[in-house]
Amino acid sequence: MTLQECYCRIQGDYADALKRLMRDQLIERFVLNFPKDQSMQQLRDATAAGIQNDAFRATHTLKGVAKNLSLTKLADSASELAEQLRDGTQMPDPILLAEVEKDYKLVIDTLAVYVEEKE
Amino acid sequence: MNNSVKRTVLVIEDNEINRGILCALLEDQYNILEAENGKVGLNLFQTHLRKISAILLDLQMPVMNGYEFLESVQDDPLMSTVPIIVITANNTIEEEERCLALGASDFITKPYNKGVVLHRISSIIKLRESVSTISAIEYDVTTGIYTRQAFIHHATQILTDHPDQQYDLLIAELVKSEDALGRYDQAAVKKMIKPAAQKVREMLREDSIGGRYSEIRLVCLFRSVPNGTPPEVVLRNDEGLVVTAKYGIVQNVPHDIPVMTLCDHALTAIQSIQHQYGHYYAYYDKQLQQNERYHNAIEQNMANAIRKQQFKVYYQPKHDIKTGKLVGAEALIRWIHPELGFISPADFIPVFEQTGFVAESDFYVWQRTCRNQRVWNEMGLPQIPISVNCSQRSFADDNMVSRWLNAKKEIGVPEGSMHIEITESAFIGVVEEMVKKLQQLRENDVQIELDDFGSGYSSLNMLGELPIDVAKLDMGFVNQIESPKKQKVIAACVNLIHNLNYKIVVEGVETEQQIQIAKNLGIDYGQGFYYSKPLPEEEFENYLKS
Repeated sequence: MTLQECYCRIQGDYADALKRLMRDQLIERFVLNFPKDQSMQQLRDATAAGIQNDAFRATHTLKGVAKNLSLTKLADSASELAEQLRDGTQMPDPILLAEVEKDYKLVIDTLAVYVEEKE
Repeated sequence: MNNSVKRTVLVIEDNEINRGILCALLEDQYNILEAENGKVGLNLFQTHLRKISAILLDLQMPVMNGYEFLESVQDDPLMSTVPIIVITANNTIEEEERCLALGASDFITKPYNKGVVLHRISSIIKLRESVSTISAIEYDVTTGIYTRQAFIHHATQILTDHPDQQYDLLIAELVKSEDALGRYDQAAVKKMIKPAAQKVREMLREDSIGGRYSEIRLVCLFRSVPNGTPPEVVLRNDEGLVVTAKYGIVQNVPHDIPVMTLCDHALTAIQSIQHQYGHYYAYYDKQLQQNERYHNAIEQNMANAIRKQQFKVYYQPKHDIKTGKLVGAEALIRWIHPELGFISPADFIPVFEQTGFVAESDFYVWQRTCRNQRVWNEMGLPQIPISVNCSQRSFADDNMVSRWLNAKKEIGVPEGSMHIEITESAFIGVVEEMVKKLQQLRENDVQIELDDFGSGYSSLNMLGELPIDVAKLDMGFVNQIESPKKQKVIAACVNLIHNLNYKIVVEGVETEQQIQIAKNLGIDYGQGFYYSKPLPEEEFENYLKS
């Protein structure tokens, strides 16, 4: 599987990433780091602890990272959740959160396959 | 932009991937400093201030967010010159507005686009460098020491970094000496400031700094030296030109007060010896501090004083010197504050004049006196003219004449009952305009009294031109009445004024002897404690009855 095919499977926009970041290696270098990013875990922790503000911040960061890597599907669901959390008074809506979890899992799983095949 | 030098950009963003991407986009063209929150960023910024050409700043961050970072930087004279580009994810108008208000220069939005990011940074650096270079902001060209902005920045830093160390702040103001050039032109200033700055450089030790505060002022912050010798008063440059300086010193400065305020304190100290020959040092001590607080209290309270009716108008009678008959009075403002008590006019008038509030207080006295005149007339009391002071600031106001005349008309005062008193200093400026104003007042039944006659030098020149009715000789003039030679001068003055058909009032008469001399000179009227002190309204009313 090439990186483009990988992006296809996770409904990302590889062309957009390349247009913005200008180098294939750069995209690969950072997208392979994505599983190490803590924002999804921070969102889960904040949800479990019931801290609205932290939940918003984590979602906001996740959205930013996903956008930067052109992980469009994940960026969209994170964006929708971030809007729901923006005023800092609500906990994540379970349906929106599940959507983010689903998109996130797809990205992580697909990247794992990509790395495995590459090795 | 000069491409041979790689500029440094500080990237402040908490998320590692985002920061990594940003740095990867920039690394070909810039040296990069990275920070994972505002606090780390601020430390890097302070340490590498001179190197950093621009800052990229994320808003949402733990520990210290982007807004807090902007807030801590915006008041610093040096740090605020470095452009900050804010990274936003949603760029709402409110967010952008808030950032701009806090001093942000530009925005970039996530996701990053290499071309956009590089162009934004490049043009903002170019703009800044074309306006000024950091070194030009930091060092004064003439003296080679810090500029005022740089001094304030570094002094703030020293005070923050050494909370337990005692420091003194000193401002030296150069005083033109007799043989120096006639005025403070550029060349003269340069000749004076250079040796002074040299002295400052020699004085400076570890963690003490000096800067040029203004044209003729230098400022230093140094470690307190117990019983240390004060700096030299007389300086000499290579050409033997002598320069003297007056020093304002704030000892053991509080570390939590802005450096600008400390400088103001030092200037207040200098102010206190400004016109005292032979006085070269002044410390910002308790007395000065109290004076300054008092001054501030006056400034804060004055606007409400009219509404709260704290101003009282007193009247000091004027008498005919020959007959002893009551012929008029002067209205004088007094301020009785519920907490501050009786505030001396000597304290509040200068503040009113500085702030321009005097136009309001003068007008208040005018209105109040118009009303009193009407009431006293209706009561059938003897009708005498009362003069109201109109300060230079009030008189300079374009609307003064119409405002005062309208009030007089609305209240409806008896004929011939209102005068104004102006001082010679009111005539600084265009004489024709003044004359026009005075004529307008006189055409509307307001007589003009020229106060403090003889205290300036302009009036002899203008005396013939001015449409006035009464000249008032001041206390200083009166107090010299005992000297025969001065009496001749005064006699000549009296003749001159009488020849111009003006009446003469002498102010501050206290003794029988002074009355005799004034009578011999042919002075028409007298005002002073000999007759009566200034009286509150009710007492003056009784005075009118008697």
